[in-house]
Amino acid sequence: MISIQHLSKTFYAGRREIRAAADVSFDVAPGEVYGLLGPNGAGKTTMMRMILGLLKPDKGYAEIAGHRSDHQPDEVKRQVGFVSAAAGVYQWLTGREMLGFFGEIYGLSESEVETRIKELSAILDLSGFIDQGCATLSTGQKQRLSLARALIHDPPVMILDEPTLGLDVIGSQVIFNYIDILRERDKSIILCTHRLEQAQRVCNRFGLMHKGKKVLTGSLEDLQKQTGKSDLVEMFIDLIENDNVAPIQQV
Amino acid sequence: MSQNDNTKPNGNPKKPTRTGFRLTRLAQKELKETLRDRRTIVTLVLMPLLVYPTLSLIFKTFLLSNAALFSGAEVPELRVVYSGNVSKAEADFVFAKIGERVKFIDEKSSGSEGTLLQPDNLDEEDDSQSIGSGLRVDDLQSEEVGFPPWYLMRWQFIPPSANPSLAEYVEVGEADLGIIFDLNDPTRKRLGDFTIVSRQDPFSLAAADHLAKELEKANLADREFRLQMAGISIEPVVNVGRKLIGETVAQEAPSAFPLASLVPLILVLMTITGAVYPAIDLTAGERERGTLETLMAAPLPRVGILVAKFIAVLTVAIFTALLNLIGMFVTIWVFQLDQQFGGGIFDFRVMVQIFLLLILFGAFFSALLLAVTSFAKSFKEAQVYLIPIIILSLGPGLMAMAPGISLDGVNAVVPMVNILLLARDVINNEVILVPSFVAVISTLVYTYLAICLAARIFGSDSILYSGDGSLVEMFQRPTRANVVVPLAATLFCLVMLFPLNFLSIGFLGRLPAETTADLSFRYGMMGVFTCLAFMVLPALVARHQNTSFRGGFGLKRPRIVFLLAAVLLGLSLWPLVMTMTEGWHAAYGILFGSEKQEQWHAKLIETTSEQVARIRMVSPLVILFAFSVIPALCEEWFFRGMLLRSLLKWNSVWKSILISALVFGSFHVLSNSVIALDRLLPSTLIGVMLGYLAFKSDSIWPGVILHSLNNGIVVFLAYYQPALSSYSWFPGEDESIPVVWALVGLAVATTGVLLTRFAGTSGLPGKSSNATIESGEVL
Repeated sequence: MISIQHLSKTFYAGRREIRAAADVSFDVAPGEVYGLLGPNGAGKTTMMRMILGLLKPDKGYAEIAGHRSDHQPDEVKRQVGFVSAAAGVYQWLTGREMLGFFGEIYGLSESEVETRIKELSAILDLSGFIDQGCATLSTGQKQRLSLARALIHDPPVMILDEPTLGLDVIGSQVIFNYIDILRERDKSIILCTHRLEQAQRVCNRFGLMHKGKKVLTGSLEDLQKQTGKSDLVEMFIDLIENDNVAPIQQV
Repeated sequence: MSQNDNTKPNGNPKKPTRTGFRLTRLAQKELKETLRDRRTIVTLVLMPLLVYPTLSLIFKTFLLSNAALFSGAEVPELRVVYSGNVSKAEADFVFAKIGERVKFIDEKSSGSEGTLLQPDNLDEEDDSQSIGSGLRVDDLQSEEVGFPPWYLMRWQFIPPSANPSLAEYVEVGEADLGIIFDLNDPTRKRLGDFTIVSRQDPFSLAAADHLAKELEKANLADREFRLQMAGISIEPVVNVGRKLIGETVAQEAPSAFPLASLVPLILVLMTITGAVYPAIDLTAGERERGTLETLMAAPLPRVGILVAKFIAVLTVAIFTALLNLIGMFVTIWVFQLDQQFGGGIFDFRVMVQIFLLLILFGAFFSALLLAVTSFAKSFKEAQVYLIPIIILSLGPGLMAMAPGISLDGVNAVVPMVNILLLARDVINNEVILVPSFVAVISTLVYTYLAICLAARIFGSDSILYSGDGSLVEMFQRPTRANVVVPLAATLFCLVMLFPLNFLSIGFLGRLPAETTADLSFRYGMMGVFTCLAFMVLPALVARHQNTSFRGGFGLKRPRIVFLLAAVLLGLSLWPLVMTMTEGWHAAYGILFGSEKQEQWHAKLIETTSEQVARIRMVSPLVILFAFSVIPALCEEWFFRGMLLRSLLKWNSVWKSILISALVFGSFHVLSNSVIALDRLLPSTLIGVMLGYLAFKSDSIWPGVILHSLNNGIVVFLAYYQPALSSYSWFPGEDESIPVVWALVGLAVATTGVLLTRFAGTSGLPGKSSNATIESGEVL
C-alpha cells in the first residue's frame, strides 16, 4: 500500500546543512501499523511531509496505492488521512462545520458526510462538543476532532504524526484504541510517536530514525535480537548515547 | 466504514467538475470563518461609524478656516510654468511684485462700484469702467472664461536646462501656459521681457490672452504709481459703476479640488484596512494555528486554495468599501458637506463608478497583501511586513492628492495613483477615455501578477518549512555554487533598478549647467549609469549568490550560426519596427479620430526631432557607445543574461521568454516620460526575439550583436537623415518608409529566425549550463 523508496532531503539554512532524511526506504502493507520512531529532530516529520507530497524530496519517492506523491500529489492526498501534532482546528467554525467542510473537500456528498460524522462521533465520542465552536474545545477534544477530520473520507492510508501530543493518559488511550480498530479494518498506518510503551503494543513493525538515517528496522523481536535490549525505551536511550550507530543495510 | 472501502480509492470519477465546487466551498468556508471573527467586524463596521463623523468634523473646521481662500466664483485652475535667466528666488520676488501690482488694480476696480455715474440700465457686456490711464479695465478682464488673477495662479519654476523643458511641459498639457522671462538688472526701472508660451488649443490661447492682460495690469499699476510719485492727480474724468438687475445668483461652490481628491484616498485607505486583517489571518494566521498544513494535505490544487482565500479577502474588502462608501455619503449628507464638493457627489452614477473602482483596487490590493502575508510564518511577522507596505501606499495616495497632477503619462500606470486619479476625475466629472482605460487595464494586469506571485509563494515548501528567517540567513552567501542566479536575487535586482533609475535622473538633473551644455558628457554619464544599474549591480548580486558569470549570464561562446542569425536580425528588424509603429499610428487614428492622431503624430515628430537635433551635436563615436554598444551590452547582460536564465530555471521556455520580454518592453515604455505605448509592442517583440536567440544559443553574445546593430542603425539613420534624405536614400522626416523595405526586412528577419530555429541546441560547448536550461523546459 505504502512504498517508500530512497527518500532523501537536505535543508540549507544559510551555511548550515541539515540532513533530515538520508536514503530511507520501507513498505507498509494493509493492516499494518508502522512505527516511525526516533528522538526529536530525527527527521520523522520531514519523512511524513515528503510521503504526503507537501515537501519535495531531493531524491527518491513515495508511492501510495500506486500513485507517486511527486507526480500525482492530489491522488495521493485523496488516499491519505493526515493528523499532525501541529494540526489546528478552525476556531470560528463548529466541529460539525469543520468535518462537513473537509468531507466536501474530499468529494463526499452531503448525505455521506452526515453518515460519516455520525459514525465517527460515536467511535471517537465527539457528540458532546461537535456543535461547539472549535475555539472553546480542550486539547483532547481538538485532537479527537482532528482525527475525525483525517478519517472523514475513510482513507485506506493514515499518517499520524504525534497524534497524542499534549493529551493525558485517557485521551491518548482513546487514540491508540482507535488505531487498533483501524488496523483491524486493514488500513495502512504510519505512526510517529514518543509514547513508546503504547507504540510497542500497537505497532507491527518499527523503523528507528536518528539524524535522518534509519538505524534499526523490523518487528519488536527483530529489534530485540539486534540490540539485545528488551524494550523500546532502552533501545532509544542506547541509540542517542551511541551517536555513531552505522545505518543498517537495506535488504 | 466498510472493509471493501480500503482497496477502492476514494477518488471521484467526476473530479474535474467537482474541483470547482470544492473551491467554492473553500471560499465559502474562508469567508464564514473571517466574518465570524469579531476583529473583522470591528474594521468592517465600527471604523466607518467612527471615522467619518470625526473626519467630517475636521473637514468642517478646515473648511471654515479656509473659507476666505475658497470664496469667489469658481475659476478654472491655471498652471503656469516659468523659466528665465535668474534663480527661482529672484524670479519669485519679481513675480510677487507683479502680483502686488495686479492685486492693486483688481481691488481698485472692484472697490469703485457706483460712485459718480449710475446709469439706470447698464447692459453688462457694454459695461465699462475707466481708470486714470484711459485704459478700459474691461479690456483687462477675461470675464467669459474667468481665469484666476496672477497672484492665484499655480506657478511652477522650471530651470532653463531642465528636461523636459518648459515648452514640453506646456506641450503635453502638464502646464497650461509657460512664461520665459529675461530679467534685466532688477534695480533698473524696467523689469524685463516676458514671453508667453502657449499651445494651440482654445484654453491655452485664452489663458495666454488673460496672462497678457494681467501683465498689462502690472504696467498700468506701475504707471499709476509713478504718476502718484510725480504728484500728478490721477482722479478719473468719468467713473462708471455697475448695477445688476434681477435676482442675485447664489455663489458658486468653491473649488472642489482638495475634497474630490481626498474622498477616493480615504475610501481606498479604508478598503485597505478592511482587507489587511483577513489577508493576514487566512495565510500567516492559518499557518500559525496549524490549519494550513491540514489544508495543504487535502487534495486541492495550491493555486485553488489561494484563489479561494483571495476571493474571501476581496469579499471582505468589497464589504468594507461598500460600508465606507455608505458611511461617507451619509456623513456628507448629515453634515451638509456636499456643498463643498461642487454638487456631483450625490449622483448615483458617480457612486456606482467609485464603488466599481474600489472593487478593482480591492482586488489589486488583496492580491498584493496575500503575496506578502503568504511569505510570513506568523501573524506578527505578517504585520511587520504589512506596515511598510501600508505606509508606502500612502506615498502614491498623497501623490495623487497633489494639485495639478493628472491621469496621463506614467501616472496612468502607477498602481494606486491611477485609481485615485481616476476616482477624482469621476467625482469631478472629467473622465478622459484613453488614460482611464489604461489605468483600469494596468490595475487588472497588476492584480493578475500579484495573484501569480502569491500563488508562487503561498504554501511553497520553502516557505512552509523554512528556517528561522533571520536577516543573517537571508543575506548569507550560499555555500553551494548556483548555476544560475536564484530568482529571488534576480527580482531583487529588478526592484533595485527602479530607484537607481530615479537616482540617475536626479543626478543628471543636478549636473552643473556648464557640464550639461556639453552633451557628450551627459551621454557619457548616462552610459555610466546604465552600466552601474544593468551590469555592475547584477554582477555583484551574482557574485554574492555564488554564481559564475559564465553560467549566470550566459557568457560562453555561441556557435557561428547564431552570430549569423543575430547579424541578419540586427540588420533587418528596424524597417519592421518602423512599419509597426506606423501601423499603430494608423490604429490610433481609427480609434480616436484622425484629428487627434495628427496632433499626436505632430507632437511625436517634434519631440523626436528635438532629441535628434540634440544627438546631432555630439560626435558619432559617443553616439555609437551611448546609444548602441553600452545599452546593448548592459541590457542583454541583465534581461537575457540574469533575468531570462533565472526564469528558465523555474518556468517553461516560452513563459520565461515572454516574461523577460514584457519586462524589457515595459522598461522601455517607462523610461520615457510620456506613455510611449507605441514602443511597448515593438520592444516586447524584439525582447521575444532576443530571448529566443539567447535561449537557443545559450549565450547572450548573439543578442548583444542583434541589439547593438538594431539600436545603432536606428540612431544613425536619424543622425545622418538629412544627408541620407538629400541623396534620396532615406525618406524625409515626415514620410513613411517604403513598403518594399519592410518586405525585404521581413524576408531577412525570417531567414534569421529560421536559422535560429533549426540550428538546434545540442553539441554546444559547456553543456552543463545548457542542461539546466533544458531542464527548465520540463519544470
